[in-house]
Amino acid sequence: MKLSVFGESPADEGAVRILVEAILGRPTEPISPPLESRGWPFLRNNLSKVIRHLMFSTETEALVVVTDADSSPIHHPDHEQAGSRYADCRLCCLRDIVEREQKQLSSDSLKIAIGLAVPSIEAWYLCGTDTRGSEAAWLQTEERKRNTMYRNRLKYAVYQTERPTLELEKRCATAAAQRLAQDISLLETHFPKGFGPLIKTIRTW
Amino acid sequence: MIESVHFKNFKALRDATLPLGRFTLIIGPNGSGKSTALKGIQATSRPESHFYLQSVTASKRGMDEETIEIIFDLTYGNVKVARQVCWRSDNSPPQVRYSGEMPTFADIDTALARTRIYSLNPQAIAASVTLNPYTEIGEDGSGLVSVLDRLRDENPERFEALNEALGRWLPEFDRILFSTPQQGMRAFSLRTREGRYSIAAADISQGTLLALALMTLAYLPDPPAVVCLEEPDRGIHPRLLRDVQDALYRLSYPEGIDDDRQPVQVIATTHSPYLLDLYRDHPEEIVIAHKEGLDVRFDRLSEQPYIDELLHGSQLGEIWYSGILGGVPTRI
Ligand SMILES: [Zn+2]
Repeated sequence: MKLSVFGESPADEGAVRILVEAILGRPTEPISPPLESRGWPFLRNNLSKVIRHLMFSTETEALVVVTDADSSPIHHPDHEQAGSRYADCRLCCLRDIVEREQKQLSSDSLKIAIGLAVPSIEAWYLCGTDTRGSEAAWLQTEERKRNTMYRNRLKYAVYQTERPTLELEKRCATAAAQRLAQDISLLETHFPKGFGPLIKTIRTW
Repeated sequence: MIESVHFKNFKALRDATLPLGRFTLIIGPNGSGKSTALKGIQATSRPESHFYLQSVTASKRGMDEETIEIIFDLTYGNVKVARQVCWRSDNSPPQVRYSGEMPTFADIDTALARTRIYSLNPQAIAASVTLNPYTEIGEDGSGLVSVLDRLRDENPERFEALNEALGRWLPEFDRILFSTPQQGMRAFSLRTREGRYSIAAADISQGTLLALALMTLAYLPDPPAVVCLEEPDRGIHPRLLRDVQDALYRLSYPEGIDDDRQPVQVIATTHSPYLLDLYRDHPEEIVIAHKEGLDVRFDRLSEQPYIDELLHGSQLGEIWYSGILGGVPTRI
């Protein structure tokens, strides 16, 4: 499968590809997204361009988009009922963009799956090795109001520094994804709201 | 480490305090005192090389009894020390005064003397030089080839790590090569990954030369104690700014990359919203220079009220560009 991954950094994109391959049970052929992402608003503002580019200028079959939730509301199954999408939920926001594009282009030939890493992808990397590696840990922590500090702590736990170089990020993200790929149900169990919808969609491919 | 610098009557900085950390990125409009602050820090490290008349605030020129003062609040180990440098209108030699509990201040003087300011220039970086084992990278990047040559001979592991970093940052190249254009002279070139052609420094793109100088600085075994950088992103493609950030963090947080050398205090300026975006998780490292009439004020971004709310759903660079944070040019 020719697969493109659009995430918040090149390190995330490599790790997410490993997870997708574990879900699919087969290797994928990478297609680079045309843009290098620079975090949430950039991803939201440019997703339409990425979809159009992949559809018209490449032979990409599937696109996986993963964004950090940061301090935004976490996706809830209630949001999935027609008409009840929640504007501040990043997963809902990205789904709206995808549906709008598919409608405008009258095509859903490009398969698209979206994941929300709560509160950041580093929490996924910690799943199974650190108590902070779950959505529940984030929902229960008193530190939710201090999102930046919490994110930095997660980074430290993954990279042993709050300021990893891209090279170090890639190395740690790859190692974590390879570990998680051994038992993908771990992420599904601990991140039901943000990883759940992603795995559900990919399993239909 | 210099915790803060107070400037009095130094050029555009009539009365301003600049808060600093191990890494500080100063943003602000032209003429907001960013470069002046860097020059002031350098002047304080070697006070005898600066004179009252060339540095006093324009509105104070010709006034008797005025002084230029630059005060560093420093932490040295666990000790807090203030170091005041004062230039007087009678042009007497500058005075350096310390306050705080320290057995000797000589170590601080020695460390501060290793303050360097860089405003890199591609032509200077590319220039071939007469070999000199004591050369360091000049303010404009000149002498780079000598420094690289020494690194290769004296720290081969670091030189190899630099070559690897070059290949990651600029994948079209894989190695730094040296040549002798004439006796006693040294020049460098970069080898292309594909075809292994040697591209002479003079024919290398400006952005690549700037990137190479920054990378080299980050891989030195003994970089300056304080590095002031004017617009390290200038001339470098926005996609490569993450590498600029990595190089600067490599200098100031060596423990994060398992390097056992001393951390370097890095103070950089920028006009780039793209570079600023990369510091979203560290608002305490961003200082905004505000120009208010003839005065300048420096504020840490982390001390802006409602910063989390402002950042919600927006890029940091975009918010700064919008003017909400201040530190942008105004029009009449
Ligand atoms: Zn939702």
